[in-house]
Amino acid sequence: MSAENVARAPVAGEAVRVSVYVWDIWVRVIHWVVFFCFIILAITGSYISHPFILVARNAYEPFLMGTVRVVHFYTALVFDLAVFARIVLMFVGSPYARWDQFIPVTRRRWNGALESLKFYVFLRRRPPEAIGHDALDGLIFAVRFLIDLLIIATGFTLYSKITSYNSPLAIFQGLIPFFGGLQGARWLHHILMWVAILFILQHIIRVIVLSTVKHDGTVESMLSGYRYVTKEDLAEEARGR
Amino acid sequence: MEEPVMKDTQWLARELKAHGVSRNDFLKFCGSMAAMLSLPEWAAAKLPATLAAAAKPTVVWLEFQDCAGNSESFLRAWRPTVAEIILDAVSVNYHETIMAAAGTQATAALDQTVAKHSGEYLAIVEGAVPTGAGGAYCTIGGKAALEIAREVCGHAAATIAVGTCASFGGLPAALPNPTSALSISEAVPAAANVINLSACPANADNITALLVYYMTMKRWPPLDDHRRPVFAYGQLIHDACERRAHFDNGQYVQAWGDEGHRLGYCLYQMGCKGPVTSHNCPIVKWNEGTNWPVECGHPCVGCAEPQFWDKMSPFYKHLTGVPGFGMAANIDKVGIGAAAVVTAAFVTQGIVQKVRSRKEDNATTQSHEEEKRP
Ligand code: SF4
Ligand code: SF4
Repeated sequence: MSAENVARAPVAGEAVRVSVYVWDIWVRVIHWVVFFCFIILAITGSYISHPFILVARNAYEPFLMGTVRVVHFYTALVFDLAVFARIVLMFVGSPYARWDQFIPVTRRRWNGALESLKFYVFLRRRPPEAIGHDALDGLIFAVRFLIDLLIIATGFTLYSKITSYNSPLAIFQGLIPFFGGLQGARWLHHILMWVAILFILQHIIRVIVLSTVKHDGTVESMLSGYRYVTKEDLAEEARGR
Repeated sequence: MEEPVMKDTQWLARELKAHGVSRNDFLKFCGSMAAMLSLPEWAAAKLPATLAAAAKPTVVWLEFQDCAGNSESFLRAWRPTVAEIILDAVSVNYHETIMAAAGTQATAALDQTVAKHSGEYLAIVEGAVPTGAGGAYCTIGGKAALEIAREVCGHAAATIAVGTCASFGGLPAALPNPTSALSISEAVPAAANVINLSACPANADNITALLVYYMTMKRWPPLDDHRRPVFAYGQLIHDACERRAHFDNGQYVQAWGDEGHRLGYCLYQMGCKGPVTSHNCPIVKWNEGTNWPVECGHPCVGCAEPQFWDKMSPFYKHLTGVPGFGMAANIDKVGIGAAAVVTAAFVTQGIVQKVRSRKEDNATTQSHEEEKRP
């Protein structure tokens, strides 16, 4: 790994940083697939719940809602596959994609999460360093994964009743009572979209803030895969692993 | 299969004759029942003969926390007079609203049926069973509803819960459920073959069809997860609705009496719960097959689903509100507000920390360069 590390000119008063390849191609591709799918799903989903474009009286069979629904369903399939692929990566992917990046199992990760939290309540001037996911960030993402899984489950539940009776997806009809009927599933599906939007907003803002405060290139890292990390941290990480 | 105790197989023919129902009307009735039950052609062909020779089931009808709406619905069964005969002439040994007997006589009739036909009679239950205050909220002849239900449903061959109150608790069990009302299957978990005919009220045609199925097949039809017969609850209202084309095309009623309403557009934006409700209203319809709510311009309120008072209200809105913001809160407005708060909080935090870290950067640089300065 250290062969790839390129030193970067330090910003005034800061430690020397070296670049590390943290996000492999799979992580990056899945990240953007999930992101763009989510945007399409949020827009089509909002239309399905509240049709904001109305069709004129004498339009000839525009099938607008029908089309929007089909787009929503197929995008949802891509989204689901991407989320499942990411979960698989948690077990077979690079060290920075592993499940222990999300669920802190070591003392060091728990401390990292606490230190990171201090930064958000102004008890620290600088966020703690991390090579892959920051420990707090990882925890937040663990919750985000649960929410995604719930969105997927409620989505399949809603779909189970409109799919053909012999479709394998009809098996999700078993979840209908669990979510309090289709209306309950529909409500949960809708409100979880908003929860997911809140996650995305805080994620984008925090990534930009961390990037500018730490000068570690976090924003670009989701395109290039490289992140700038202090040498001490790299050494510590190597010891801790 | 063993024959039920009642071996009188001529009763229906006698009754039909006495009521002056022609053979033709009887065949029409059988045809409509076969269609409702989605029987294959060969079975439909056998229906008239089997029904005519069927034994007469013994029925007791219990009313608890209810509005007698299902009895009303039941008494208005049409499909010529055949349904009337099936429904009226099935020995309704006990029915508080329509029986001639009263007081001790009536209770005696019930006790007798339970004792004499134990394990054979059908219990039809209307209304929820209150369990609060030791059952004081609903007593008949000094007996609590729960006690009666346990006794009668516990010994019945099958219990048919008619209406949403008996099926799922309905209005009495709606939040905050002051009487701790339960559905019949919750109140008497030991009851055999509970069949829920939910809806407010249960459609008489479905009651008739269920009885015809039982009388001819001598078993109960396939049920869904909520123990409702699939023939009546197998499909979403939305999937059989005549306004569905307008839904798919993006044409919606926006306000009562607007142009879309007059043109018969989809009622989705007026809070129609057809997409989340399973029932056969669009096919069987109401009031002698005249019409059904959506056809006459009113959204479905989802009365056939569990907890519909809590889950489906406000009836004229797509979704219920958000906890902490009220039942009528618009979920999207709350969402936009929350997004604004989160954005403002994190942007402020970021700017403050950035300013602080820059000061720190400058300070360290300065102290490196001019260490000697005071
Ligand atoms: S009126 Fe209701 S049931 Fe009919 S298509 Fe519209 S939403 Fe569906
Ligand atoms: S249309 Fe809906 S609310 Fe009306 S009776 Fe049928 S299920 Fe109940």
